[in-house]
Order: sequence, then structure tokens, then C-alpha cells
Amino acid sequence: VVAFNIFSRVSKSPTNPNVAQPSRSFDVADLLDGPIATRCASVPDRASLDEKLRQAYFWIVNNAIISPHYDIEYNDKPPTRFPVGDTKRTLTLPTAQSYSSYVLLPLLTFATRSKCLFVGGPGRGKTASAILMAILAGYSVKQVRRAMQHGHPQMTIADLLGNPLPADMVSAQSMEDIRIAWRSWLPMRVKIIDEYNRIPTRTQSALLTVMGDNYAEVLNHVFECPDAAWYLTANDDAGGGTYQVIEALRDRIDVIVQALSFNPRFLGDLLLRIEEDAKPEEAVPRDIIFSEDEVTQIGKDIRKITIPKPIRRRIEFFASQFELFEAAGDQFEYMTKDTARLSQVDWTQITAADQGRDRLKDIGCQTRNGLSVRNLMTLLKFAKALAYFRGAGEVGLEDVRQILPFVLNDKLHPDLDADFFALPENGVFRVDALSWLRHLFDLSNDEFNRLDLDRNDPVGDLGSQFDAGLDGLSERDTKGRLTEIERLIAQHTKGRKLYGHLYDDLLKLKYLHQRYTNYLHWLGAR
Amino acid sequence: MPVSAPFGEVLAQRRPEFNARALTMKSRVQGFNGGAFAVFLEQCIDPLIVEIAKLDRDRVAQCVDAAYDIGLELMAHGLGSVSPKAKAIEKMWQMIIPSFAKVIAQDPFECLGMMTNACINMEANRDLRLNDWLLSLGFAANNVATTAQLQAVLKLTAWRAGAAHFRLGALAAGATLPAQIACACLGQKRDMAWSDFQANFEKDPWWSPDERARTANFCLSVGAFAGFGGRFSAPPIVKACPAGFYVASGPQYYLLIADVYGATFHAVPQDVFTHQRDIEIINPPRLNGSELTTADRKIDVDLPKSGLALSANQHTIAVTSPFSHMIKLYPRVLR
Repeated sequence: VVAFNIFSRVSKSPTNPNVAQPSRSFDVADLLDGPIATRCASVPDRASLDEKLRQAYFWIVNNAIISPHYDIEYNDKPPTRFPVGDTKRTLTLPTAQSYSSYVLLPLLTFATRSKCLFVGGPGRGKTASAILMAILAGYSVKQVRRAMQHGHPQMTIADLLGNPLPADMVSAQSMEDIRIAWRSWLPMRVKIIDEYNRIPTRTQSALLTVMGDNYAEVLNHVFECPDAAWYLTANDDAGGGTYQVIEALRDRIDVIVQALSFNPRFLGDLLLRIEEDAKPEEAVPRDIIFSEDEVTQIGKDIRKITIPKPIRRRIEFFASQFELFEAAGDQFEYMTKDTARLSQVDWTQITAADQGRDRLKDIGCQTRNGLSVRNLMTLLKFAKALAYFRGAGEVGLEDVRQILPFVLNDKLHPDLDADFFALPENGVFRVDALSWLRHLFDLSNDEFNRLDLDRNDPVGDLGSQFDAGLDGLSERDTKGRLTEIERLIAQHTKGRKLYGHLYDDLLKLKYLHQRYTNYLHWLGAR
Repeated sequence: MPVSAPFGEVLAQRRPEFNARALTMKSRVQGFNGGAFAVFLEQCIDPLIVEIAKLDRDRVAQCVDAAYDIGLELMAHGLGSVSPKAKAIEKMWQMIIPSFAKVIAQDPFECLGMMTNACINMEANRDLRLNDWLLSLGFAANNVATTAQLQAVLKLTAWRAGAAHFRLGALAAGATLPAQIACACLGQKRDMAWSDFQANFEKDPWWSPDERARTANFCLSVGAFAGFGGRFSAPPIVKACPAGFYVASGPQYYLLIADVYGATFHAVPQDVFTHQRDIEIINPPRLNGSELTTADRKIDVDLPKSGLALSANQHTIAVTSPFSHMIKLYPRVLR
């Protein structure tokens, strides 16, 4: 008897009809695919794993997580907007397929085997979402529940990683003789740490090793963990847990997702679950369970998604805005926020000395730090993942714009004393970090457009020229290029204020100058 | 509700359970049509249960379970009203499904599910001939013994009813069947080895085991004016591609796949059409006025010669005219 199951329905393909099909192929099994969920419905092949991922997404939003918040908005034509309330905040009705970050980001984390932190008040489904992700990886509910690590103030390293066997502790003649009973969660490909900010600091360090380096160590014994997707939950990501989360651990987290409030208009769905005693995590359809190979393949496919040069340039331009801190260094290379931070000098004191620029116009003045390499790598990886999820062959600007706030949340720290936040219209950005980050990217793009860098990028041209290689470059041509670099530096610095992107351009020109100079010396020494 | 005794007994024995299932679906689906569901039980499920009861009384309860759940699922999808899809499903359940009782009794949910899904898909595609498909299925019913065979029969008969895009998949499915059933699905009574069928069909989409189909003037006309129920709002323009032809008509763009059993159109983005270049073929056909010369014959195209255009791929020639909304398809070579 086939049990009638209210959660059994998986969205019919294509879940995103606008997805460009790289090559049209027809599977006769589609003939037998339809509203009746039979065993023989077409099994997704490698090429349709993105479709399977979308089906998983839609199953979760339609059945498992009652999350009506479509905050990742896409438009293929101008959307209808409504100003609402005294503040005239905008309610937008997106015109293209849009997504709920609370489901999408964990799913992209699953697909890329990254690390996701759920934040939000108690009872909002953070843990339930994490459990669902583990079930997508093929684990049973029982396995997942048993393997989930619950942070608590007495949690020891042994609780987290494993114990030496007591008998061995007595009889062992050397450390090698002591066998370790490793915890069952370590070999899993989805790892869940509930309330990670309740873990004591020392145990957090052990967790950092597992998260960062993928191995666990107890008494000189090492357990190599497989690549895994990590889900951590915290009621408050701003340090409101029992223990302050160590910075290195926070930095290992790739994306932060906020569990938004429940809309009581959907109370009927909750009621149905009570009446039916239905638990979505126990009814995940087989069709949307991913094998280990499939997740590996998805990872490979995501890496193949291209980021076109014009998009990359805009990311470069955005990232260039934040590190410069003119007052922090005497030598050109050290004029950075990192230098200021390492000096331990009071931030307000140094910023007071940073004058000369338009601090409202310079978006770099809105932050206390710049972007790390890890942040940028995560941004690129998740932008690719989002494009893959949407069925696109390459990353679009909107993909970057939509994913960026979730990656840089808690990474790019606002300087709340900055002039920008003092303006009444920007007051909301002091609270709403995601909107601030997206606004920041918009401002950066506006500046990029104003400078017409899409069409006029002499530093980029010089970089491309250098990337073409030095083989066969004559002494005369090398000198010509050196002159060109010096001319460009003179042009860029003459009577102009120093902004973040200009700073990085000048450093790039210095780099090129140095490389050509060395080459010139080498030519002379031959 | 006047249903047969075997069906009525199962419903009566487990009335609370069946009612609970219907209520759950009703609470889940807005506008759930209880009346239509009752009609489905009476007119669509009952004829099958009668046949099952004749074959094996012990299998009745399981078949009722499966058919009942499928009925509910169809209602949840709005397929219980008077829509063309609902009519097609009704027709299939009443006329065809009872004749497959033997195989359905073994694996009721799977068999009924895939037959129903296939029916929905056949009806949804205007290029396919639903009635022909049902007819072919009816002829094949007696020989089908297993779920796997039923699956292959559904595919093969769908291809024969015009699903040209499923040709290779259907041929592969045919290879899993006893030759007699596979040949019967294509309307062939003679005992020809399926491997020969398959080899010929794979080599040439216009090959036909039926000698009568291979006439010099064989032509498949597809498309037609939207105002008369066809597909095109403007005379189509075609570009050949290895899979078939890309077609532009007004703001619409399609991939056209054709073979001896029919042709199907599949929407494609505009840029796919725009970027398609003519493919190079050996010994291309020529148009001289309205006379089409191929490698092995001359054909009079019954269209005004002014503005006639042709495009050809490895197997097929497509002729279009600014005065017609049809595309005329000819096999390049008669075999």
C-alpha cells in the first residue's frame, strides 16, 4: 500500500523555466513523469543536478520550512514597488524567480560543502533546517540527531572529539598504544553544531581545528575528516552566548543566515502538521536525496561556472574600497586598516587624523576593516554556486549583489561612528547589516559606472599586457612600458585624493614596474 | 454510489480510513472537488476493479488503495473536472486501463501511476496524437506481462503517436521487449527481429517498416496558421541543425524534431535560433522553381514558387514559403 503522504510531492521540472539549456536533450522517461510519484520517474543525470538542487529547494520551501520570505530578489523586468509606512520603506514584487535566503543559503552551503551559521531567536527552526540539510545528504533522522553536537558550558574536548579507551590508558606503554573512541559525527559529511556560542573557549579551539583543517587530534592521534557541509546555530551571533566565540572560528564561517520571524498567516500549515502528526524531516522524498558522488559532482560543476571579466572587475573594484587607511601608515604599503588594528591605537583617534577625503563619498570610510582573501574566495565560490543553482552558465552581477551580504555579514565590520551612519536616512543601516552591505555594493557599482571603468581601464590593460608574458620582449619595449607605467602613476596621483581603488591601482602599477625593472636588469645581465 | 460489489466491499470495510485520506487532501487543497472525485471512483476506478476481481479477488484491496490515492492526487492537481486533460484521463481509465488488469494487479500503484502520467503528458503536447496512442496501447494490452514491459510499451507507442523527440529512447525501450510485443506496438504483425528494426530506425528517422509509407512524394506538413488552430502566427523561417530544425515564427522560436511518425516543436530562446549557422551536408538538395531535387528523386512542391526556401540536415529537407504557415518536410533519401 502506498501511504498517502502530504510531504511527498517534489516540484515538477523545470523548476526554473528560464534556465538556458546548454544542449537540448530529450529523455523518454519524462513521458512517465507527472503528478503521480512513481518509482520509474526520470532519475536526474549528472547534467540535471542543478535541477535536483532546485527541486530540493522548492520541496523545502513548499513543505518543510514555512518561510514565506523571498528576500533574494531577481527581476527580469522592472518590478512593482510600494512605499510603505511612515519610513516609506519599499515593498518590492520581484518579476523573476526569487528565493528565500533562509533555505537557499543552507542549500548552497550543502552544495559547496561550506560552513553556514544560522542566527535568530529560539524556536525559529534553525536546528530543524540544519537537520534537513543532513537528511538531504542521505542520513536518517536518528543518525543526524545522534550526531548533532549541542554546545554547553561544560563541553570538553573529549565530549567533542572522543575519549581514549580507559583500558588502554592503564596498560599503554606509549601514546601510540592508546586507542581513541572517536565521536560518530566526525566522519559525517554534514556536521551540525547546535548553539556553538555556548561552547567553552578551549573546546572552541579544538572545534576550530576540525572546521579549519579537517582533522581532529586527541593524544597525538589524528582523525582525518572528510569534506563536509557545516551548520552551526546561535541565538545571537553578536557574542550573546555563554562564551565569546573566538575570532578565528567566526572567520571560518562562510555565510550567516538569519531565521526570520514566523508569519501567523501561515498558522494553518502548522495546524495541519499537528493534526497529521507530520514531521517533514521524516518525509524527505527519495528524489531529492543526494549521494556523496552527486554532491562531489555538484561541487565540480559549480567550480566550472565562469565569472566574466566585467563582473570580476566590479568585485575587484568593490573589494579595493575598504583596506586603505591613509592615516595608518607612513610607507605606502602600510596605509591600511590592518596596520591600524594591529597597532592597538584607539580607532577614533586614528580616524580623526584621516582627513582630506570626502568621508561621505568614500565608502571605505564606512568600515573598520578590509576584506580578507578568505572572504573573497567565499564570495566567488558562493556567487558561482548561486549562478549554478539558478541554472546559469556564468555569474551575473545580480548573483554577486544578492549573495554578497550573506558572505560579508560579520566579516566587513561597519564603523558606526562614520559620517555615513550619522545621516538620518542611513540610520537603519546601523541595524540592518545585510541591507547595508548590499547598499555598499550598489554604491561601489555607481562609482564604477561613473568612472566608466568598463570601457576605460588603463591599469587593467597594462595588467593584461603583462599577463601575455615577457618572452621575447625587447629592452626598448620594456622601457616603453616602464615609461607608460610612470606616466600613468603621475596622471593618477596628480592633484587627486587617494581612494581605496586608486590605492590598489597604484600598488598594482608599482608591482608591474618592479617586474619590468627586474626583467630589464635580467636583459642587461645576459 | 452505484459501484460494483468487489469495489463497494473494500470501500465499506475501510470507510473511516478512506474518508480520512479524502479529508486530509481536502484540507490541503483549496477547491478540492469532492463531486468529481466521486465520479472518478465510480466511472474510472470501478471498471478496473471489476476486471481485477475477475482475475484475482485477493488483489482487489491493494488495487483499490493505489487507485484511490492516484484519484486523490489527480483531484489535487485539478485533473478531476472537465478539462481536456481530465477527459483524456477518464477515457484512458475507462477504455484502456481495464484491459491491462493482469499487469496492474501485480504492481497497481506503479502501473496506474505511469499510465496516468503518460496520458497527461500525451494530452499536454498538441503535436502528439492521443487517440492513436490509446488505440495502440489497447492492441498491446494482452501481451504485456510485467511492469517493465508496460513501461517500454508506453514509450514505444508514444513515439508511434508522434513523439519524434523520444525516438532513440523509445527504440532502446523496444529492445527490452520481446520482439513480438515491440513490433506490435509499431503496428507490425510480421516477425522481424527487433535489432533490424532498431538499426534501420537509428540510421534513418524516415525509415518505415511499412512499404506503403515509403512513396516518392511522402511529405509531412507541420505547423499551420495560429488563427486556424495551428502553431504559427507568421510564415515560419527554418534553419537546419543536427537534431532537426530551428524555427522562427513571429516572436516564437522552436526546435522542430521530425521522423516518420510525426513531428514535435520545443520552445527555444531566440539566441539559439539567431546563432545557428547552416550545417554543411554532402550533396545538398536544390530548388528549381517549385521543383525540389534530392539525391534520388524530384518532387513537385505544392507551394507558389516565389520565395520558396529550403533547409536540410543529414536526413530531412524542410521547405517553407512566405505564402504558407506550413513547413513541408521530406526525407532526403528514400530507402
